[in-house]
Amino acid sequence: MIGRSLISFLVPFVIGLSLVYRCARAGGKSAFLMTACLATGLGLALSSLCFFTWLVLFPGNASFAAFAAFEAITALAVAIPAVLLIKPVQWSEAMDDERPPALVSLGIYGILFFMFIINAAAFIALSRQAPHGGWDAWAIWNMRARFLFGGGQWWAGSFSKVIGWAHPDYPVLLPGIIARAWRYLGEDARAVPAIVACAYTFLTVGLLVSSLSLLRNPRIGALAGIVLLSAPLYLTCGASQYADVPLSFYYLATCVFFFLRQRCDEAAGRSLMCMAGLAAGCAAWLKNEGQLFIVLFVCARFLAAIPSRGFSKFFREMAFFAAGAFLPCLAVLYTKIRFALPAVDYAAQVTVKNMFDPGRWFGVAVEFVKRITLFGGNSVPLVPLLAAYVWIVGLRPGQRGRPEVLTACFLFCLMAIDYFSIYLFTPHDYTWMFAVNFDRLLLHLWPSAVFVLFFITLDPLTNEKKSI
Amino acid sequence: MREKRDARAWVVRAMLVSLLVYGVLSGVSVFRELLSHPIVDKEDFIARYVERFTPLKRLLPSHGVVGYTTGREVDNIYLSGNETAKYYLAQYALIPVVVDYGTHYRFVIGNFDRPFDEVKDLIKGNVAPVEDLGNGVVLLENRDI
Repeated sequence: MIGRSLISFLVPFVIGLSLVYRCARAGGKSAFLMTACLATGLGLALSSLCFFTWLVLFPGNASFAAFAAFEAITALAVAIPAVLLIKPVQWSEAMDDERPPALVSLGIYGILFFMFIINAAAFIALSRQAPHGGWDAWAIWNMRARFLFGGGQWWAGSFSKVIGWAHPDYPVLLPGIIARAWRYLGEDARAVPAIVACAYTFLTVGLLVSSLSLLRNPRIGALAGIVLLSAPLYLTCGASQYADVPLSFYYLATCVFFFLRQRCDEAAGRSLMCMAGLAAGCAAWLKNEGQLFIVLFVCARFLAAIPSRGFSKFFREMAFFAAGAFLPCLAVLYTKIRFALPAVDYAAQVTVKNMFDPGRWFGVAVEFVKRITLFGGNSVPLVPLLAAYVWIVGLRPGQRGRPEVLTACFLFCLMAIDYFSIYLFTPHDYTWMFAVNFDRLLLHLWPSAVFVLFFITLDPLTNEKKSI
Repeated sequence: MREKRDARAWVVRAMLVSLLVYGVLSGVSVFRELLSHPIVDKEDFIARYVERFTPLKRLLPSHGVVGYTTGREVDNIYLSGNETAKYYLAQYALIPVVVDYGTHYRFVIGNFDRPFDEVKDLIKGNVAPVEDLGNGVVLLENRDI
């Protein structure tokens, strides 16, 4: 049992590592941690894709040995070309190396460690109190995982429109990961969904801290980690085993790959763009919101890149992005076509007359701003504090980071417009909808927003000069 | 000029401290929450509920769609609290069979709070019991289909 558990984790890690291990070269401990987080996250997604392919090709085949062999062959088919083709990342400049007093840095690391321990303990406590997770976890994700694991040749019942409440239109990255692990264990152990949720929750923290440590400095990385964990909603949502935290991981991974390009040469930059595409593709393979994320990412890049780089460079860049996103998107397309699923859930729920109702515009706008301001789950709102932080600490000059930052800003704006339009056009009571899901939509963007915020602001501990 | 820069540095430091204090207080509130809810394993309600349906699985077809009833008709099964949860859990338990709410299928799962004898009058239409499995779980057959 323990051996199988280890292998079930090792295979995805090795697949993921083959894709990203070149990021770890010459980057120190931060690059090592970042690589480990990215390798695990991408590897889990690819192993889910592999499991889904197995179900499609060999439905009802109960032989574990056959599945293990199939997975090993697939792993090699991914790993060998990846090792040969992906360019090593050569960091082109040193990170910020101005050092504040060691005691201050130690204090920041200490607080991050304290928060990590507290949050890990809270995660365990919450998981023991609700081992099957929250409502959506057992009624959607774990239920669909049971279909994939125990459904035999009838696994596609997971996509049946009869159980529309289980969102058969959602892709199966998360159920695939869980069902695959159960396949290795030979039983539907209830600890597996909780372990997967735990992995994504803390991988996201690790990725945020390590990537900012690499791109800025370790203190900024630690500060970002503290801010991420300062929103208790992040932990409770993670422990509820919802797909929102894994989705936020893939959004963050997309941003990280995208921002890392500025620190390396062009050849490595192309590989990183491909990886950004893969991470965005994983988001699409996880939830419908991820499919929208891909489209809006391309639109944001278009808006940011066309004026400065022109069409040809934009299309070349997007070709690498599309190559990375190809496999997960193909799986999404396959499920949409084979099971005749709607492309976007909300498209069928548009009430156009809402557009001409000024009262609704005002009401949605007020609720939108209020919920963003109060986001996080603390009695004292965190977002205004962060706004004050940006205003007081200031933005750093960073010409080199500009196109990436611009793309991220466009992306956040487009996501906000999209979210706003959902609440504007829904035929349902928008206040009820805000209460039910808006915080979780914001949570998807929370780690990426923290990443961009700490990327663009000055280091408060050193004497960097304020430019604006 | 230098004084202005020093003043700004203090404001920046104060801001940083505020952010760190906010983080610590947030961690402390999570810690206090932990202490107020001791780490104990609660009874696994879902596992216990799912177990009720185990004997039913051998009677059902290996796949396809079956009906579901509790004898009570609700306006919207998706917004009926406990009733919704019970229906979803029945589906959770009976995979790979797909469970639809209603009696418009040949086989219908009866899921009741009380023994079937006490609630059989609630069943409408030409639906008859095939086997009473106890614990309020009954396999029914719609003879009109």
